[in-house]
Amino acid sequence: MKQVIHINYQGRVVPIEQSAFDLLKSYTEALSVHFENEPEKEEIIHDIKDRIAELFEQRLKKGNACITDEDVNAIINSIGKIEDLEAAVAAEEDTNPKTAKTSPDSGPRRLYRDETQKIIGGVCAGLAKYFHVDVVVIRVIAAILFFSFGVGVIPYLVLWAAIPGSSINQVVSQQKKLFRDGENKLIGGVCAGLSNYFGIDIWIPRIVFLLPFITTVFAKLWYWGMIEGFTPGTILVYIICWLVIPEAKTTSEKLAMKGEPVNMDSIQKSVHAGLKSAEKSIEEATQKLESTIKEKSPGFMGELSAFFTKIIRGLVSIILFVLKVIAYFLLVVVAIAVLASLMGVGLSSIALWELKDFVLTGDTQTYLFLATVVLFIIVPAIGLLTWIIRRIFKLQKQRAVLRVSFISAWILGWISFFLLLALVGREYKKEYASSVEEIKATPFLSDTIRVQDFYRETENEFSDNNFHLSSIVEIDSIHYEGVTIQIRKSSDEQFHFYVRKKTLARDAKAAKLLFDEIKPEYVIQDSLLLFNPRIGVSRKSKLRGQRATLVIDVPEGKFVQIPAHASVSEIQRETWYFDDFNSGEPAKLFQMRQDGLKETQKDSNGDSISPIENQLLDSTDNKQNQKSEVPTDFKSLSIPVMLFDPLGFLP
Amino acid sequence: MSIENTSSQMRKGILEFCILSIIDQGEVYPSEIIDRMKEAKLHIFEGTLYPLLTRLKNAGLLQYRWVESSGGPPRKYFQLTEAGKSFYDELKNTWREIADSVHQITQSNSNSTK
Repeated sequence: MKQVIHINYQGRVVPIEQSAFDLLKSYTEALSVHFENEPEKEEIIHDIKDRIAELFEQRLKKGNACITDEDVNAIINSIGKIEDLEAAVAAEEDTNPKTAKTSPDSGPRRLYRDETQKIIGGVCAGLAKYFHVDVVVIRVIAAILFFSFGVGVIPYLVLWAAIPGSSINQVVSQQKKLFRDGENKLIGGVCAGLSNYFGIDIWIPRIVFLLPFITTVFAKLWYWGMIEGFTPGTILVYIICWLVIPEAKTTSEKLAMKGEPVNMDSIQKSVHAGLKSAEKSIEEATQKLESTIKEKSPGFMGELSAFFTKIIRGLVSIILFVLKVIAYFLLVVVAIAVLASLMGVGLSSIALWELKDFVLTGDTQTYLFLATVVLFIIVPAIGLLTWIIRRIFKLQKQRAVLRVSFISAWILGWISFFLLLALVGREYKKEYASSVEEIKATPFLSDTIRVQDFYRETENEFSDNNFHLSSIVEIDSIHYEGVTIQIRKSSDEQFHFYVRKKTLARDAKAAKLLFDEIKPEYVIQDSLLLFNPRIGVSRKSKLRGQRATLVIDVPEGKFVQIPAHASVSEIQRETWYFDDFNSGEPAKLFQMRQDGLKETQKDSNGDSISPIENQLLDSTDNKQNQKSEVPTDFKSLSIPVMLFDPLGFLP
Repeated sequence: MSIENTSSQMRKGILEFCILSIIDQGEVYPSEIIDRMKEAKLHIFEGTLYPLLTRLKNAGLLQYRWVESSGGPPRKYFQLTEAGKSFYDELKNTWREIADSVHQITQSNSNSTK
């Protein structure tokens, strides 16, 4: 028999066995202890007691006379035994953010690259944060260092490599080990592994390894010198790394390589990424192939087929690899070729800077020229180079800021280019011909006018076929072949000589000024016309396509002799002169006939023999009338002519 | 590592979410919540539920009103507050993502094992 008591439980009278009541009491006390630390302890206890009271009510309603031990135990089980509640709370605390320990933040103040505020690599931003200075200050300092001393590039790269980025999880407690990253590799995954371990951008170690190659190429371009000794070193280091550092193969190794905590999220991510890779699917496919083969042809044949499948798979992957390498190589070659041509144009523009005065007038045009070179040529060259690097190293970050600025700079370059063309083109609008001036010459008795060219050597000449420049440092004039000879039929019986000049100019007034500057060199002595085919232009008169024509009117029946290396164009009756005045061939002779110039020869008597036609009576008559003073020895003409300087034209 | 620990870890994660879901369907009192959970084969002690409800209420996600009951002491009827509703929606999204991911993984896992 058990004692039954009546208690007032939550405002209700409950008949309950004594022992049951003891159980209840100890339970509620234990609950009170359990919820000791809860802020709402009172309310929770109250709710639980209400619940207990409700359960009492249900049982009593069912017809029980009182609450028994079993009832209480059942209720305790329902609400939760203390040990169960303790277990539940212990598990909960791990997930409760309030009680969990916060991850250790930076202990001593550490230097990070601030990747949220970065423009290039966040180096300046990180430095700024560390020193509590404004980012702009650091950037200005860096810019000054770079532009005035050229110092900034290497230190920046070094800092970029050395200082870890803020976006990478720097949980040191996780065991981070140095592996080679087989998934992100370009060659051996050394750089990828290094980037994972140090938490730096992947192409930083790549640039570091490749830097000596790049600088060697540029050194050759700019300095014709060598940066010595650096190149083989980095290759050696890379190979050593390749051999020594193991490759991360298993998932846990890969996670350890990246320093990621091994939990469901990271495993899922890695597995997902692994599943996506094409190599895996190829492997799966071939494995399936192998297994089906094995199923269908068991035994030796199966082994053999599996073996062949392996070989084929190996061959295919080799072929794929070779194709990939070739494709990359071609892409790089093409891109570098374009880049080189751009840079070549840019460099030659710089090299020709000295000569700009011969084309450009005034400061505006000079600035425009500069702007064009920089924006139109150098900027796309840099942009192309950046694009190449990005493509090679498979960088995803496509910085919109950089791209937009490159493109807008290039557009500016186009604009300045067109402006320059417009401004400069104005000067070359039209070709003006001067009036023909007669050259006074003493009449001579010979029936042949000899035309001979001479070339005056100027100081410090660079020899080229058409352009002769004084030294690059002090160019005061440019000389080029600008004088031609025109032969016409004289309207009377005399030889006449004229000079005509041509130039491109803005207008007639400018043309006249330029004509005054054109000074062809020639001398007419007896029956010899000596002229310098080259004319010079100065910075003042500029390169405007200045030309001069010496016109010789040859009476009908008379002769004109030109050097062997020259030729006559029947159509235009102008002669061109080549830079080959020692050819040793006899000079050519032309006779002015009724219908034009015809090539002839003179026999030893000094009489002309026409190889093509019979001689006309007129010419022979004329010949006999006049005493010929033409020397028969044509070869001797060449040499003395070079020294012949009656009027002191030669210096 | 024991199976009980890992399993209960898993369940603990979704406990709050399920409770909020039940309350979202209409105002309920605690033993109703327990019953619904039991129907869905998710067992939870009242001793765990009450503190949780109290915490949620203190966080402003739940509110309650007293309703007199004929057969016993008055009951607390819980409903979601505005904040609670949006909190619950967020959890719904999280759950969906996790469920998809887990489904995908376990799906592919069962595909690849032969």
